[in-house]
Amino acid sequence: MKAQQSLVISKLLPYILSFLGVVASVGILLALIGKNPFEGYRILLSSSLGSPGSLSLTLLDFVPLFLMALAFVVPLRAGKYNVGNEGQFLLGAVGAVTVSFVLPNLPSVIGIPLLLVAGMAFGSLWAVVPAFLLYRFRVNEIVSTISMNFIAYYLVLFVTTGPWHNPLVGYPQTNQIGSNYILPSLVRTPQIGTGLIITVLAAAIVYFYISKTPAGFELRAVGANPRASLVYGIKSNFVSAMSIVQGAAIAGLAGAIQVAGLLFSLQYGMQGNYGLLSLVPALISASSLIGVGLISFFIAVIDTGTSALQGVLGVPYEIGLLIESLLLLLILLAKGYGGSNR
Amino acid sequence: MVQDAGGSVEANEGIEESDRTANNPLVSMRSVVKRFGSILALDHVDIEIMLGEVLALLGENGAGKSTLMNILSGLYRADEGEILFEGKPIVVRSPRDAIVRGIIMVHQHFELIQNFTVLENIIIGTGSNEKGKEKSVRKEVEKLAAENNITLDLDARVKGLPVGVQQKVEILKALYRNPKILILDEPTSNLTPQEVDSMLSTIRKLAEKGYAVIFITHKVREALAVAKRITILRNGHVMGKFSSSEVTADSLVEMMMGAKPSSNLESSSHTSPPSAEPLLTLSDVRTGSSKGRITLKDINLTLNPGEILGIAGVSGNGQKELVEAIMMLRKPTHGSVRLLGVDPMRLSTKEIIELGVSYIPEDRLDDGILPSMTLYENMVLGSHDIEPFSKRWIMDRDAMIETTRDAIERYRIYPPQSEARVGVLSGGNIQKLLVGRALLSRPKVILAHNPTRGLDTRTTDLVLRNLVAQSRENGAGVLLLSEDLDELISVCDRIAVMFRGEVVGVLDRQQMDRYRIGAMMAGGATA
Repeated sequence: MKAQQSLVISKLLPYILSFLGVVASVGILLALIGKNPFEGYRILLSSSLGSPGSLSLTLLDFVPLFLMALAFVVPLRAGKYNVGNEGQFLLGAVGAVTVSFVLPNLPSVIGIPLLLVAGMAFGSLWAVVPAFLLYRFRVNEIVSTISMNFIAYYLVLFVTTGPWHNPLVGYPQTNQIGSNYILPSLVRTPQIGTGLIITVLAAAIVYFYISKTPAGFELRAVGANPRASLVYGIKSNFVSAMSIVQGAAIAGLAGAIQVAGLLFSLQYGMQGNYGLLSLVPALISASSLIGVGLISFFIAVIDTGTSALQGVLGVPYEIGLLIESLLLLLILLAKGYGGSNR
Repeated sequence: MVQDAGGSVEANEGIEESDRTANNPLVSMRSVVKRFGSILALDHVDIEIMLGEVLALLGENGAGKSTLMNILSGLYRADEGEILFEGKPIVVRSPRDAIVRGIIMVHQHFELIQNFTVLENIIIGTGSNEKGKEKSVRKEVEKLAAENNITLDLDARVKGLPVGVQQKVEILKALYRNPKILILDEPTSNLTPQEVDSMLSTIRKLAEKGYAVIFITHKVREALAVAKRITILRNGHVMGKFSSSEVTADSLVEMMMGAKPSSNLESSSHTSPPSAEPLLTLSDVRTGSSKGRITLKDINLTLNPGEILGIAGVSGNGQKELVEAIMMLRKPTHGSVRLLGVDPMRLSTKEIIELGVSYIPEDRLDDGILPSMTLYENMVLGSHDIEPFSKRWIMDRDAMIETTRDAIERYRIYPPQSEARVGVLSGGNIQKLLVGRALLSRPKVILAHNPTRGLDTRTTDLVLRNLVAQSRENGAGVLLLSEDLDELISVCDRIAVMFRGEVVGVLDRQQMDRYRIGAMMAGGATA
């Protein structure tokens, strides 16, 4: 029992130390640019966790981040790196606005599910190209999915400046989707929406798929040893290619939720840093979805808190990015240290 | 407790003089203890090594032979005990400490550079490859080889040399480093009987030349043939020390295994109804060429119900390609296959498994296991999506664990936990897992490639018995590919010999003769 306790502590210790490291370096950074570090800490925490309103902001950040992390984790379990989740996210958003503009008068009961399914379908279709290239020609999926990201950026630019362009804003952005397509809120102000519930549900389905079904078994088997999987009758190449398509569906869902739950339109640049940030929880905790969720939430807290720092203390935007990057580096360091200690 | 060399030299100075006299050991290892975690690998082991004789270290896999010699050669350090060299305690902290005293070990896995010539491999790392020295170095190596009756083409590339020849390159390489003690770890594994004879005579001559040779082996016959003294290890204990003239093979086996060896497997020979349709027929099967792989050339084989068909051959003569062709992992480019009444050419590997074919791959790490997954998940690989392990698209964890517990018990898999990750298992335990998995359902055809490699005698026996039972009682056909001729001869109804991708002959029981098979394995004779 005691040994177990000390094991837990020795595993957690690097993470605690790295967290303290982040806190210290944030303080130093703030002091260097002439701000009061303790004021900074207070704002960071209160603006992300301090009130129901700020918590809801954090959760709004958490939803796409967690889904994007799942979109990366599913293929990762099959040994594939879906760095294209960003482009798939954008395609999901394109799918969502497409449904709302092509079929503007559907009742919500049909319309919203259709919008979400369209998001997943568009996201998946975007991944079919890299998946096929991987399956047929063994083209490295990292290269091909990144390339697809660039195409996605310009596709979004095309859609947001095309016929659906909203002329009232001086920015590449579409008109708003109809109110029949907007995800209902559970709490009205601020919005805590159905998006969170869909996200939790999606995570539960992913968990069930990966750990309870034969298809999920094959996914993990291919990730563990593609050659042995092949020898024992699993079509390794097909499974690993399909894993990217499956992950892409989740990324597409994230894009659709972002449109229907938060932005209500397709906007150029709406992917933010979600693609890159999502790699962190996925890579740190690939084997545990709960871990992916916790780390995603943690990152959402920092993300929300540092953007408040910009607003309240006038801290430059770059400092916020710097803090996030530091955090990621230190978490990875902690993981590396904990890993070598096991 | 390993003594500090510096402090003890003085204290032992008196002994030094008397140790110079004949018949005193060159090296004594005293009370050596070595633990790996909670496992006691060596428990107060004493051995003595004399110049000018062969000492056989006899024991099963895992008995501690290699561990003991790895301590002497500086790869491991003992937890307790001491090493006396010429009567003085020494500390061996690294292989370098051993090498400077002339202790050199030739490991079981070759460390030769495949693209270098024999000569380059022999002199590598000794500084002898400087310009201008080539001629004198070559003369030196030639002289050394001649003195020890080793014939080698010094300019041949190591790649492509038979295993027996590579083993001799390793020995000559060790001799070039001017050893007093030469440790040979299972130098006869993978050799044909002819190559074994030649190796044993080389070893005998090395001892006559005055070297101390330590011959690590699990083969009683070879130990008796070559060694003057035999030390038996079992489970990290010395079970006895004998002069080879005073013991019999039977008593050695008994001491090695701790029990009487089980009765012979041969007795249950096979009589299949001649009318029965073969389970597997290969006609003129060829495979395409791919890098580093042998191509099969016009293979014709049949496997009958209830029959064990052995495939003998030196490793790398097409055995792996043969089973892969049957599993459709490597589609034949020519010829035809008939498997369990169907043409498998258009079937996937999965469909072949579903027909009732089970496969124990040779390369257990690459082809056999999912290292990061649990024992029970590995156990069901291949039948993970059918009953009882999957019902209506959901896997049944309890069913998997129950089956795994049975296999753990039956094959004594360690650690005995279904949830343990397979990556932590030793090679022998992984092999047990693969065998357990292959015999899970009642297979109709079993392709077993080196199924007993790395197993102790008792488990080897259990595995062979299971294979025999599958064929005799359930009418399964077993294709047993093995490099161990004794194993093949003991259980097979027929043995096909492969050489460079061809079946050079098929022998039935009356024709099974070790030397004849050995000659065929070397490409020297046909049936």
